[in-house]
Amino acid sequence: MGQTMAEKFLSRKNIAGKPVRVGDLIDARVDGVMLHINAGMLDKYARQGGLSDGVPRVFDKDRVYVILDHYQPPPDHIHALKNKTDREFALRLGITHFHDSGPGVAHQMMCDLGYVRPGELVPGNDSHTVMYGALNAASSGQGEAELLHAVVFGELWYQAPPTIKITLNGRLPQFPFAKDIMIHLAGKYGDDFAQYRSVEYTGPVAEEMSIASRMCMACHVVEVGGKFGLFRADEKTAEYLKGRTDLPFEPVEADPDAEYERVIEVDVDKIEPQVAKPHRFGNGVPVSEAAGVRINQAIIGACSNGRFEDIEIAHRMLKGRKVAKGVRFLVCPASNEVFKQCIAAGIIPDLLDAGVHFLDSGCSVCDPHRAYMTSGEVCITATTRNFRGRYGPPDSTVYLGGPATVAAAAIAGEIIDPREVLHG
Amino acid sequence: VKIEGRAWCYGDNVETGFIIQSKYLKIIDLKELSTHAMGGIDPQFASKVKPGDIIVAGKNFGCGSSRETAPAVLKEVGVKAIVAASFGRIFYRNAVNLGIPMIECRETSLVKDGEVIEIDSEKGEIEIMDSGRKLKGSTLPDFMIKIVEAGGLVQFKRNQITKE
Repeated sequence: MGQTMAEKFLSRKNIAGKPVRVGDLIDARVDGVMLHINAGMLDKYARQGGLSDGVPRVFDKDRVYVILDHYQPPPDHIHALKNKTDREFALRLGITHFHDSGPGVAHQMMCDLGYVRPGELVPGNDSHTVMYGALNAASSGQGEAELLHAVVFGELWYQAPPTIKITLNGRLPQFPFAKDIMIHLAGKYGDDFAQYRSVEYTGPVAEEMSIASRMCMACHVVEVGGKFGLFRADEKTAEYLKGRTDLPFEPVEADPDAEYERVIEVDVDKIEPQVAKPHRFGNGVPVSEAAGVRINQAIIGACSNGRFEDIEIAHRMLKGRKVAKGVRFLVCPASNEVFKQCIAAGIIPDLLDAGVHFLDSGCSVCDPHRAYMTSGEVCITATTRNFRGRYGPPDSTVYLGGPATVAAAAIAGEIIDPREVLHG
Repeated sequence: VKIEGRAWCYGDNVETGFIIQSKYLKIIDLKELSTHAMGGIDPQFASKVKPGDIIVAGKNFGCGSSRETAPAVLKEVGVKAIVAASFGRIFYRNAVNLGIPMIECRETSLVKDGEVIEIDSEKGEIEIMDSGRKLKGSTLPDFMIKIVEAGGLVQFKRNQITKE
């Protein structure tokens, strides 16, 4: 019997050197560790463990990445202090790839800067670390206590998860976008359908998808409970990595006779643009079911949808139009590489003319500390989550949608089918 | 190990941002932070919870953000164990790594808020003391039991190193 991608990854990294099957508990050698905010927390745990000087060393200075992303620039004094703690951690340990005020979302920078390669196992202290699956890396979010162990020894325990294979059939026309597919899946199968599981995306639409869209698909695996969200490494992956990394890598492929716990076939052409209604990712419905909801705020950004293709579609829709009166439309690139792509394509002036509030790169509209609403206000956003209270008081509400759906709502002042704007 | 305590019952999909809201994450002191535990869903909890109490929840408890402060504030206020129909995977690992016993049980909806329950973590059994009704739950793998018994991963590793 063959192996799934998750079994292959963990077999390859198994310190005991044995092949791994679903359910096996192993100690695995990691290829990298991503730390963003709270890197300094590792020092705190080390001191609790009796190491009075904090973390004594890291397993590889070139393989522990520290990217201070959430609070750049610091919005207040306490975050300036927190950043200082994290900064001191990175400088003291001589971390090679330390990015202080980059700025950008750590996950996007990990990919932009070539720190993640196909076939690698890369845990990180953020739930959306799972995004690197777009580049055929097995990555997932962990807590600081166990990452202390990982950065010192270069090891971490894993239990080999069962795998759900999601086959994306269809042609990938203009619609839907990756976000629509993920919201549709969560709406149909529940927002924990991949709990403790690895997801493998396959099929013609997965092959057709851009790397940016694959990143959205992989990123949102955590919204359905998943541990890994994996794509095959193909020509697109190789093209993306060109010039970003000189290090060798070995992609992981599933065996043709791998055993899947579940196979989900999706006819992508039949999926309408979707929104996740308040207050869960799993509240996915076709956009028509939320049409007419008045909005106060619209956002495109974050590790889910802050890439060039997401901003470019907004530009296509907004060019020659205006953001509706009374609506704040925030657009925030996921990294400075994306920001520069927007500049090079010349799309920013049109967005500004349309009334967009264009922000500097980073996490600020998703964490969020620059996009708060007040009671009764409504936001539609292409960022990651819509839990109650995420963007303000409990009676403020958040809808999630793809970038086109968000841009359409910003123009109309209410949720509408983006196809009406795009083709209208 | 047997753990007896009063149940605080919650429904499905209690995310880590409900367990400790983002707006409080700027508080560095864990004791002060824990005065906001469960604040996103139950503002009464932090002032009324007693050391030894147990959280009983529906499916997907601790989904969402990876913040380790979520299990940390629950431990700080004295929560002795968490029983849920299922857990968000990052929260699950974090809680074990902080030394909190975690039990999966499909029948948590049968426990009523405020009832005293007893967990037998070796057998994976949960007994509702008043009615005597027993519910079947999961057990932790051996190495996780060792981590929990040591009081968390950091303590566990420290003990290991000291022994060596």
